[in-house]
Amino acid sequence: MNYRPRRAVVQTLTGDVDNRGGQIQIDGVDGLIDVRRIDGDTYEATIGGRRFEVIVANGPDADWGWVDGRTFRWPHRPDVHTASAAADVAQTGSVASPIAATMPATVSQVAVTVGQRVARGDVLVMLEAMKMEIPLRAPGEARVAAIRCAEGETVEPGVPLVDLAEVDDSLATADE
Amino acid sequence: MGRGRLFVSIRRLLIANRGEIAVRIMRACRELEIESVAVCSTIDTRAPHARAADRCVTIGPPRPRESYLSIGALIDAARQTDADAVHPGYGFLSESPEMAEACVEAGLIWVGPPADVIARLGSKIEARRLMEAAGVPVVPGDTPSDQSDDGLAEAARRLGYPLLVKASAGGGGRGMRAVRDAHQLANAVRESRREAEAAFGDGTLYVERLLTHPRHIEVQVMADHAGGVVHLYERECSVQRRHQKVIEESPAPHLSSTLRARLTQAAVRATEAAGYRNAGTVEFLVGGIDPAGDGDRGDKDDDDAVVAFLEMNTRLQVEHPITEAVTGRDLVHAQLAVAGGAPLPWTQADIQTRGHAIECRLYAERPDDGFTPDAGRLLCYREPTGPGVRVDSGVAGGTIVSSHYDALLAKLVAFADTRDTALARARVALAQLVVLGVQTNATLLSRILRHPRMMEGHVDTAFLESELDGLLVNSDGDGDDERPAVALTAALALHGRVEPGAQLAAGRGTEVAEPQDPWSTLGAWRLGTRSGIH
Repeated sequence: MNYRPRRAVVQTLTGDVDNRGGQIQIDGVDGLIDVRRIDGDTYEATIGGRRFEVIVANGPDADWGWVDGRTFRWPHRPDVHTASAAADVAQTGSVASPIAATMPATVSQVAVTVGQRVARGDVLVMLEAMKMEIPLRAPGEARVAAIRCAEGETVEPGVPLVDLAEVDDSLATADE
Repeated sequence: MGRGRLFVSIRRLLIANRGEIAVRIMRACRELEIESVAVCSTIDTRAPHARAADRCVTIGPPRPRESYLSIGALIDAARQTDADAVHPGYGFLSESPEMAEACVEAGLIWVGPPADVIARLGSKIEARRLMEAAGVPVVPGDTPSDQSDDGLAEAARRLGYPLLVKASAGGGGRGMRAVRDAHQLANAVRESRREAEAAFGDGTLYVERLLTHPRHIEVQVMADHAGGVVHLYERECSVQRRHQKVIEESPAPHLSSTLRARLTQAAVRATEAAGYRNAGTVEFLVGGIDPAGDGDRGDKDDDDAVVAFLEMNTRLQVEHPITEAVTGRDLVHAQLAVAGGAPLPWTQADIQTRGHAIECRLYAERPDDGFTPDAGRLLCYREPTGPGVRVDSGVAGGTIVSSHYDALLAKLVAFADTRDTALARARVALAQLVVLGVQTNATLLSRILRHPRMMEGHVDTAFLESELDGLLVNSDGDGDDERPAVALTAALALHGRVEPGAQLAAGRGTEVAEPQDPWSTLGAWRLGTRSGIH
């Protein structure tokens, strides 16, 4: 099978609101797919004779789907990553981005000072939450522009704790 | 048991804990017709554990220090509700001698060992000294009085290779060198001595046998006031990440009867030497068993195995259900009976094991982001059921998973007559589980269960860390099957009550625990407008 779905076009929807069912066509998928609502947020889709149970849910910051034991998640905004923040940044590029917690946490250590130059992977702030120490690391080469938290402070997700600025004399260019 | 229901003198038990373990203890209370008292923080008032007891006292704000870790608040709650006993569960104050002492001073029965026993076993140095004196094997080591190069070489020769050269005053890995054979020793000693002198001002060196890729095997014990001690066999807990257990099983695979006897006998000796009471766990490191061996019960290999006492946990263990499954004994019932002054409900001969049990720990964490804990409201939560499946959980649909507490949501325990069937039941249970709203390690757990080394029962404490990169990408062979993503798209179209002719735009979705999944860019969908989903 070589599905490359890009768009879904709803063909027909039948039945009443409590017991709906219908057929849907999806770009790149041959034929119509039968889908019906089982109960609440539980659905059943049939593709080529094989049935798939689907459960969907809409959360405050992401939508979720479960299909046959696999769980999917669509964040409404790109995730703030902590441990692997470097993933989207060019390895040698310098960055200018705020560093924030992803959950309510306590600042156990501020490991840098303003003006300090940091390399990718350096620990900037150590957070403590759920009995775990969570390092906030530099996503790339940068200079610490501002520190917006103190040790012992409780911090909320998404609020910048450290501002990083691009390193002026860096020869590397950010990968855009 | 053939002895009828246990007699338990406890009348009303306060459970000084939260989450799945509190719920599990409250269930035992109902079975034994003991009244139960829950305690909760202000964000837990609707949590399952707060609703599972006969009474509930809100003891403070979410911060553990001001609620579940506040000895004063807990003792007040016990007095206020006229409880006569306290069960600490695990974590929080379960290994606090101060808490045990405070309960006794308040005239409450403490469901656990005496305060002085908790204190002694909580000190690594004292515990090691105690075990050595009792003839319980510890990691062999020596600080030779002759600290010359020759003196250390002689101590190393007596000990055997591979070994560690460590700073006697040390810690944190400073001055520590792993030595594979005698040729490397002189260099290691020189470097260690220099580092030790620089770091600690003391160049005294200690040589210790190095257990490469040891297994973590622990023995459940139970002791009463009269000095009676029984063991309930072992648990294999080698599947760990950063010293956090992830999957446990009982019995330990490929363990010879000789080695099993050595472990259980050492555990009983340790328990007796400590003057222990109630439920406890003696943890051992077991080295010298070829992890890639042929898998038969190689008694010859096992005879050479190094067994070393690690520590004794002075409480009920997270993974106690697998022992309950294979022995058919209820450990919480026994804890409550013994704490109330009753003798052990079983003799050693009563304890037999049958079949195989595997526990998977479900954590709220983000495997795609270095396993940082995740928090949020559970939008959907559905537990698996079926023959041989037990789920101990502390959450339900709508529960707020808070960053203030341990990330353990639930434990899935699969039990069957054979290990292979238990593995299959665990895999099916994980596939039935639905958790939406917070990210979990469920996908990783399924992949570990399918890993060839896990399926063969050849894991050690280095297994998970060394295989993690491979386990985080889809190796199930279904990565090219886009039917689930298509099914999801179809369901979302219906869920969004879209009109015929409407189009759904592709969005960026990611399978949880699957940062590099090809679907992350092409397979998952959402409605183009937020208003379409409700």
